[in-house]
Amino acid sequence: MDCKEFREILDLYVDEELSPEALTAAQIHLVECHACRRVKNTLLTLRSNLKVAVSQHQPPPDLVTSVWRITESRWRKYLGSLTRVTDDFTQTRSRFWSGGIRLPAPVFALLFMAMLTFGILFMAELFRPVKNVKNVTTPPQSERGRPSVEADDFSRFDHGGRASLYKVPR
Amino acid sequence: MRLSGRRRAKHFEDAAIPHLADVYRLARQISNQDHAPELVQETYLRAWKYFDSFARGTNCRSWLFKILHNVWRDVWHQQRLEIPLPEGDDTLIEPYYDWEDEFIKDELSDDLQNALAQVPSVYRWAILLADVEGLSYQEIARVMDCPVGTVMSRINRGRRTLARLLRSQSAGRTEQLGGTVIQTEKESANGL
Repeated sequence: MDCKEFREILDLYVDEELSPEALTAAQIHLVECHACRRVKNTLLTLRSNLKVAVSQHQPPPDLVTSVWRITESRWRKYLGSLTRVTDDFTQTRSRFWSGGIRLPAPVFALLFMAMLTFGILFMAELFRPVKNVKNVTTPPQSERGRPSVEADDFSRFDHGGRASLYKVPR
Repeated sequence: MRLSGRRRAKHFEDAAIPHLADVYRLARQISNQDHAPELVQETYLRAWKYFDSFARGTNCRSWLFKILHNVWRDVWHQQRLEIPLPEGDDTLIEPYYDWEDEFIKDELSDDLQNALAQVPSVYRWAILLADVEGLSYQEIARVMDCPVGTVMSRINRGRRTLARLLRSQSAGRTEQLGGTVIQTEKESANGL
């Protein structure tokens, strides 16, 4: 390898992109050629100085905060967004208790609202006051507080047939 | 029951946010101090939006650089009045490395920054990704969406352009230190 060939592949040499054979040839040439060694060192110095000059700039704190906030705001929008249901269905895999059950947020919200609605209706039905029933006929009471004969007479159900057999003896 | 959005946000925070400093550093060099935050914000917005397309376990930093390159091309580059340098134009650059003089021995950061700002943007991208970020040629080709041979060419031209600009600055400063300000033929020809 001569100087011209070496300087044509100098970029690949410093960037470690040479094949093993080319690398060996380049290293042999460097051992022999002082001028090419100086050129290589100059290029390496340029690279390191460039890296130092560029690396001194750090992101401002408000930029870091705003990037974090972008991520959070997107997440909160995702919770309330109904338009992403279809995307979420393509990602979601249902797993049971070992890995947790994942549901899309809108589906979870709908289930919760349905349960809440049924719960309210059930409680309302449970504590609804009982209406006063007026037209129920109560059997007449005797002076001793005992039920009257009519209570034991079942003939009203049998139109005078065999109902007499069912009279309760006194 | 856990929500899938929370896990996605956690993965994004673990994978992408740690590279914020690198993305900002690159954005600052390809634009300027005032517009770099805007580029970085847009980059992370797009990264969050398309995070599902990112293959877990691959190089997230390169992926973010690619998004930054697309943002720069779509938003920043179209607004600039920069004349694109043809790939085959070598008339302003020496044919190969002939740096046998020590013109980069004691280089100042400000001189490097000034010289880097004058390097054409496509060359600047290539040398920043190679020399500062340490990406391989294959990764640079993916970021810049061009063949590997083009990457090699841009890196080579970028470094030689940068060196030529540094040499010009150094020559001008040496003449000023001599007591008289002489504008050399080279500076006047280059418009410096």
